[in-house]
Amino acid sequence: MSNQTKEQITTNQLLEFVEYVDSFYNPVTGIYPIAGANVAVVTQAIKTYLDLLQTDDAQTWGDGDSLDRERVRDIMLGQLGLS
Amino acid sequence: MRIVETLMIGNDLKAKLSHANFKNILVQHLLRDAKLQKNRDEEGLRVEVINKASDILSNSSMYFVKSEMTDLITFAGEKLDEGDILDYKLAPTKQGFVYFEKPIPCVDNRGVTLSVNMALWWFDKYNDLYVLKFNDQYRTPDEIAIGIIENARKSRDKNEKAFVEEIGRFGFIGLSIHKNRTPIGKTLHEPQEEVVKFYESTEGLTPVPSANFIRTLHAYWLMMNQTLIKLSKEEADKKLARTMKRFNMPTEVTIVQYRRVETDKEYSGESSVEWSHRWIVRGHWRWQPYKTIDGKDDVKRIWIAPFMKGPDDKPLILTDKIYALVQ
Repeated sequence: MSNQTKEQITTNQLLEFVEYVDSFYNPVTGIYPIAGANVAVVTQAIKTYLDLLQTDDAQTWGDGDSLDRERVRDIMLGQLGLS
Repeated sequence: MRIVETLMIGNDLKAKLSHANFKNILVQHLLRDAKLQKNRDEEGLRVEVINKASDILSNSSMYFVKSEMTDLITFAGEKLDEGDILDYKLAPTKQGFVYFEKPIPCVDNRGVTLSVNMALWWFDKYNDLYVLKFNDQYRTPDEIAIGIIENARKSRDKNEKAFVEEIGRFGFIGLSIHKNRTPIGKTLHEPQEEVVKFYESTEGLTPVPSANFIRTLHAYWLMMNQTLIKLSKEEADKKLARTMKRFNMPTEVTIVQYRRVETDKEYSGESSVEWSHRWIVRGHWRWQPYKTIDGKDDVKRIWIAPFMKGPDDKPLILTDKIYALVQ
């Protein structure tokens, strides 16, 4: 796990991570489709997650790995009222 | 199912293999595998196999086998001789991840038919073959998967729910190991003494013969070289390709399907009959002599399927009977 903070994550990394999350949960093309999970929802959930990382020492940024993705998924499900 | 999902599923499996809990579930499964009881103490071997799987996956060629192929591959596997030799040179690639759209049925020692959707194979430095097999619990759950998911749904035990969440779609069926240049063996493995002891002591049942998946995999590899089969490639789109590259995963899938064939003249004039299926009336393997690149005489397996009939757009069945929708 990396100690990178929100400020240190580059735009490129962020875009890659949005694409990665979208490839899993996009309602049309994802392998685990979540109804309503468009790019805006994904981006908002990632923002929430990055904010959470700043306050929660127990969670760290894993360079946009599968654990980051699953945490963002859980946030999205909460935001969409599907959890 | 979209073909590029093979890449995404492969990527998800790689992601799962980076989770300590998921890896531990696979290792524990292997430690309890009755067929591996002889080497019960070799926990290190099992950990090593599971640890390797992630790297193997990154360097594997990806294959998608269309559902119409499954019955033929299973049938062709049964038709091989038990003396056929498994040789790493017959595999299309030394490392591969294959997704069977329609799963391969495999009976286990309990008499339960498991459904193999995914197989990850590789050869070690001695060219011995290792195959990890998974059921796709989301698309085509087998009896075991349905039981696990149902139990977790009903249970108040958080661990059961966590277990189901951790394994996701990857219902682990087990590991097959086969020594290079040894016979593929019979269609069914008679349970060996340690397997009988294991089941009698742990589950109180007498084990039945279990399916030999290596034969089926061997038949699949051989089938890929037959003229009956069409191989084509599908690339991930730019967006998915970027994601796959980021995780050091392949971006291309080889699709294995039937080559379109001319329907026989015998049936071409029968416009009043709309056939419900394509079918192969008979099929068998033959040893075909050929010259190797260096001019030596050798033989290779050729699948003879002389009676493939019916419209291209209809599903394939393997039977002596012919079905018609309208007569």
